[in-house]
Amino acid sequence: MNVTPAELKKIADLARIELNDAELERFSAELSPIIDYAAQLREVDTSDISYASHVDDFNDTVLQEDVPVDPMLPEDTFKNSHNRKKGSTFITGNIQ
Amino acid sequence: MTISETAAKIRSGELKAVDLAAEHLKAAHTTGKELNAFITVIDQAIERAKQIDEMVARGEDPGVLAGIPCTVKDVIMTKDIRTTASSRLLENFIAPYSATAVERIEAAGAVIIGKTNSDPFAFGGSGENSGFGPALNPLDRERVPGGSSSGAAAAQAAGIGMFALGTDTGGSVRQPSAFVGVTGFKPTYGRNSRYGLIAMASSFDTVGVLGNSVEDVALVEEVLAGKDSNDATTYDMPVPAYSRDLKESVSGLRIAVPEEYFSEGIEPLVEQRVEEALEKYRKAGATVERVSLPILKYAIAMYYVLVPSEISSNMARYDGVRFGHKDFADYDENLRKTRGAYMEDEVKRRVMIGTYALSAGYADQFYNTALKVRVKLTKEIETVFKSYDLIAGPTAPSVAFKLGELVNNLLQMYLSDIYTVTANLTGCPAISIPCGMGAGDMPVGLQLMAKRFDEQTLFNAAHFYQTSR
Repeated sequence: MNVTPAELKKIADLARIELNDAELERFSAELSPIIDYAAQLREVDTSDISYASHVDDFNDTVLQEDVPVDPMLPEDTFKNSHNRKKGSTFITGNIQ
Repeated sequence: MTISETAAKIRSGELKAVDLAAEHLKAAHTTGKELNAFITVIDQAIERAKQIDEMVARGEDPGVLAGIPCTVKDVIMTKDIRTTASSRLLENFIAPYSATAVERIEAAGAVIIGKTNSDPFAFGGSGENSGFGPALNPLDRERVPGGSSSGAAAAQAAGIGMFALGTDTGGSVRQPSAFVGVTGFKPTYGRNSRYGLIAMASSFDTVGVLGNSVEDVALVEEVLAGKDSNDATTYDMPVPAYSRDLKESVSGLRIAVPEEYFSEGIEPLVEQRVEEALEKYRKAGATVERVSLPILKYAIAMYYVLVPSEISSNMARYDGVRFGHKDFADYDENLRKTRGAYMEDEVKRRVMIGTYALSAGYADQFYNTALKVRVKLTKEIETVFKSYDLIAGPTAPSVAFKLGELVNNLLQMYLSDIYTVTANLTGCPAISIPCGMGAGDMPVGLQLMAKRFDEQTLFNAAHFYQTSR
């Protein structure tokens, strides 16, 4: 299956990655054989198999007691964000 | 000297943690630098080692890893220390908290001397994708140390740190361990906490250990394993004393060897060394039998659909708000341009493969099909484990390749994970141990895989091989 540079442009847009034309050419040449290789999965008979997104259902693990703990301070949580000023979490544009 | 022997000397005061830390830090700054094994060397480790010595002087017990110098892969968060995921996208990221794995080894007395280089976000099998340049194989500096835990493997093989924390999503602990000739272990999915690990593919990721011996690795795993309330996929099951309970007998052990592992693409000397290793098990009373598992042919195909799909979702958080670069005022412009500018090529490739596999029109053909094939594989592997204790084979089809050798052949690069991905697809524990030398006098790895939560059988069988020379 061939992924054309034009198709790849759509994918890159969906993924919010800006690529120049040279990159689109190169990545489409690199990714086509991988997509092709992955397409062989269609050979496998999965008619009697149902979906699972995990190797386990984790039924035994997800419920736990709701115990309050000391939260991380906002200044720690957001210390790597750029739009900050003292006393606020971060700045956004006006929300209308 | 083993970790346990070294820790005993530190706990008795015979050996000073500070001297050991100084020695390893010096090696990190010299040999480690030449190998490009580290992104950050943690000089404050000296202070931490002093605290360990002071605890000993006060009569307190610092723990089973007392004063043991170790390294941590840079995709694992270390509070207040730069954690880059080996990507330029996070080159200035200071971790606001430590991963559970880090907290646990530190609570047991370990001294972290540095953050190791890897493929960015652990995407790769050679270390060459790193935003900070490739790490080199200490056994032959023209070769890769494997990946993605490239710096961890390079440091471990060069004797820098007594163990290394790595991550294994498709073989990223085991394959580099094989390439540099050390022991590399990947736990059962759900055994070790993923909290504080920068996510790659959340249903595959595990924190694993590289070490000098099975005994050392088993001891570290005792510290890492167990329930963590911050990771809902961890199990509340007792953690056995793996290292204390190690057995050297393999009599009666049943080992399955998939014949698909010895098809095209394997180097003759890799095959020979693995056969010789299996012969050793046979002579010691184990049953070693060939089995047929045709579905293994599809392991790489399902892996390279499911993992990039999970990656594309996990990577959406790098939006320049909470972390990442902020070069443009407009949110959307910054998002597209900084992801384009700072994501390494392999990061872009995987995000795009995943986006493709999940996009409308292709999701059924790729993502949903791969999920079903994964269930089928898991069932077939479970069936094998009804008759056998272990599945054995090579860790990788080749020895460590030359730097640059596979960078222009992406599919070939991906196929070097062909034997390791099955353990991640099925959630099983697996280990790679050195089993002699292959082409170019480079080490070969023997891989053993056990059923889920049967780490003890895995460690016993690997320990047998290492102690029966």
